[in-house]
Amino acid sequence: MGTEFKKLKKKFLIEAIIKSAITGVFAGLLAVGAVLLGLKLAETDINAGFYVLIGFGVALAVGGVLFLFLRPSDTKIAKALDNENGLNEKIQTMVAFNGREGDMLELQRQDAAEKLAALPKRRLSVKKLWQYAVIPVLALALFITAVVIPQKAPQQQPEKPFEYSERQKAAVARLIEDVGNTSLSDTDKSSVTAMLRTMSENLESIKKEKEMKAAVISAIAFIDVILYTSNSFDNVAFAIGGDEKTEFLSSAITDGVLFYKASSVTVTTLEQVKTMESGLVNSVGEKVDTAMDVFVQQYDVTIADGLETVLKEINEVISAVSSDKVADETDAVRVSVEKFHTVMSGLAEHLATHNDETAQAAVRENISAYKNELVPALVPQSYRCIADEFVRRRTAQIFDINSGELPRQNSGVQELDDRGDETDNPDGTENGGSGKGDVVFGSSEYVYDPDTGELVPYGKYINIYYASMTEQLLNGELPENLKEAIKQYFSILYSGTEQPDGENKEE
Amino acid sequence: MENIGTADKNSATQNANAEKVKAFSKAVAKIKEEIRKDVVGQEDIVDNVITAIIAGGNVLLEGVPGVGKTRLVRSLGRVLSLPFSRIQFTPDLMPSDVTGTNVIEKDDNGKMKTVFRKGPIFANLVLADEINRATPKTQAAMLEVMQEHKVTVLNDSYKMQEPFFVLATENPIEQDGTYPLPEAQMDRFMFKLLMQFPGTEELIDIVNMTQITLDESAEAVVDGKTIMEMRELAKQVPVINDVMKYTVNLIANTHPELENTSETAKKYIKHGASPRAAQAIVTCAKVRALMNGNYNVSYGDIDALACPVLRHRIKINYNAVNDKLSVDDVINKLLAENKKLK
Repeated sequence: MGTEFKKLKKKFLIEAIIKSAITGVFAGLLAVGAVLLGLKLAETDINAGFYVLIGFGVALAVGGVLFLFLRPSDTKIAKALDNENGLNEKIQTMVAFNGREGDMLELQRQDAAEKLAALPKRRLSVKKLWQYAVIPVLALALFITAVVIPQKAPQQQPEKPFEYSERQKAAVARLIEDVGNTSLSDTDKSSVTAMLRTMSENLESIKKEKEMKAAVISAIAFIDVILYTSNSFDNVAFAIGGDEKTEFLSSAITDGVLFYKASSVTVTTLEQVKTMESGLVNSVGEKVDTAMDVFVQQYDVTIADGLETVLKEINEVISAVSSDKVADETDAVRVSVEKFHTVMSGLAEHLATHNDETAQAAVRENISAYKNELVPALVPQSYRCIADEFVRRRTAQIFDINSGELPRQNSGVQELDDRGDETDNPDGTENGGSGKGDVVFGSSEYVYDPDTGELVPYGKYINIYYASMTEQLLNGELPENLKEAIKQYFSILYSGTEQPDGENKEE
Repeated sequence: MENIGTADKNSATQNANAEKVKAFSKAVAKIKEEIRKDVVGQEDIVDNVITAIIAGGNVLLEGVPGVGKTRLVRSLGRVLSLPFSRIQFTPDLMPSDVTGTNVIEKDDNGKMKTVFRKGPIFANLVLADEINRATPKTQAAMLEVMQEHKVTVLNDSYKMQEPFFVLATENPIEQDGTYPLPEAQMDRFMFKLLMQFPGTEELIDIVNMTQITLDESAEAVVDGKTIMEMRELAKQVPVINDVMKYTVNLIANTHPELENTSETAKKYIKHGASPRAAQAIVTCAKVRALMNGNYNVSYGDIDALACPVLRHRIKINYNAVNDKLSVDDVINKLLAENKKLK
């Protein structure tokens, strides 16, 4: 084939590359425009890097595929030249018979070469370019539209007004009165009622529903701290429940306190509270008995079969209870576990003086004594849990708040470690718990800051009320030891979240 | 030195070929020029007749009386300086009247012997005038000679002198006393050409021309040997596979019985063309290419020859008649369908 054909072939190749590249680039733009537009309409956004990735990916894919189609072969080029220039298949014949000998073929080649040489300089056909212009025009139109369309602002939810009605005031007063009639200790009663009164006073000045919810939810969170989180049973059970052998010793404690959870009754009236409280000792005792029966079976081994080893292994786990991080040293639950531990340790040390019978008898006696001390220690904590449940439910009922919006009872105070990631919630849910400092609320919506009018996350907004209520509580009628507990609680709670004044408190 | 020598030799051969091609074009131009002296207009017919003669095929000319069919053939005979004979076909014409027959003669010694007397078919250029007026028996006598260029009489075969071709005419409007040519014989004609009634201006020229003299004035410009050389040269013209496929597909698409045939064939055609049609169209396309100064066959050559080659080889059905389509209309539809292969 002649040099003219080779030159033209080069031009066809360049033409194919240009067309593929242009189409690829604009297809990339089209894709980016489409994604951008889609995301803007959906009011979301992605990292700018993704747009670049999408653009490059689509450009390469489209350009590559198009080049495969447009890539010129000799036959394709010959056909295109014949068709475009009306050469009566001269070039195709030249290409098809390339390398074949014959006088007529040689004449044909000369004729074709002459025709090729006489062709006008090849330029990109404008007529054909319109086909390739479709994608660019669409791409540019879409891209510009996508860029020009403003990001839609989050829709402002119309704020519902709130007025603290007389009915609600009366209901809160009734709740305060009911709390006074529960079996809680006087200290707990005064703390909870003080909290409810503070909440009631705050609600007098609140005019928006969201603000009301924040105030009520923060009050409930405080009451959770007073009644639920300050209980020691959970920490004690966790401290001694880290091993398969002590698993039932641990569950004896939690099952005992939380026996009321087994009931299908939603505690919203004083009568229900009283009913639960009346059978509390027996119920706690039964739960403890059930769990301890399983636990005690581990000691049903003879000395020869390794009773000593069992004692030592269990004692080693139980010894974790003797830590201030678990509970105060005067805490009744801690004290009962420690006593049990002391006796069992003694038995393990002097096992040589026993035979199987006396050893088994000693174990059973100690377990019986332990139960007798543990049950009375757990009962007050169970009272607090029931009362907490009662206050939460009643308050939510009075102010028409969904249970899903309430903070979880153990809302984040896990002083010992990140146990929340590994244990189930006391209420039996398996939401992974919460780590140290988490504030868990039912909603992640944006709300308007009542002071500045700016949009702030719901979580941040509620912190304002926490701060306000904490200040009031700490200056109020709470006992000093409880004030200290609340301070400590919120220092942990706030450690990972932004404060209303923009600082993270670290105490 | 050897390369240069080879190159020189190649160059010399090419030049010789180039000269041959030039001579080809010149000869065609001269033939046309001379025919134009006797025949007014009918350019396409003249071109196609020349094409068929060079390609070695027979031609069936159809036209109303007086449009110049016979005159064209007579002119051709003179221009090509070939022995020419004319057979007027009539219902009582016998085969032996065409081929010749054995007769008993006395020799110089007075002995009786049989001698074959050649009929009018023994010429290079035969005009079979009004061929459809002869009986099928006589028509059949033409079959062997048209296809094999030989005549067999009483087991003796007589070969025709090359180039040999038959130019037959038939009258489309004379239905009484005519015998339509059978398909087998039709297939022996490379082309069927339709001679149209001349236009007004052409008619004036014809009248003017015959007022001066009725004699034909065309002169011989080529001879049989030249025709044979032109035929050999045309055979060398290359045809690419795509054009070949296009042609074969066109012929296959005339067959309604084939599975992947054209919609046109399914709807309008009763019988399709034979493989001879494909051979004829490619052979003639090569000649046509050279006549137009090209050295290769193009789709255009095939398209231009489709009607002359196919119109007597396909039979249209009543759907076509009902839709008032002629054979040529149906062929044009086939060409339109075949366009996608270009």
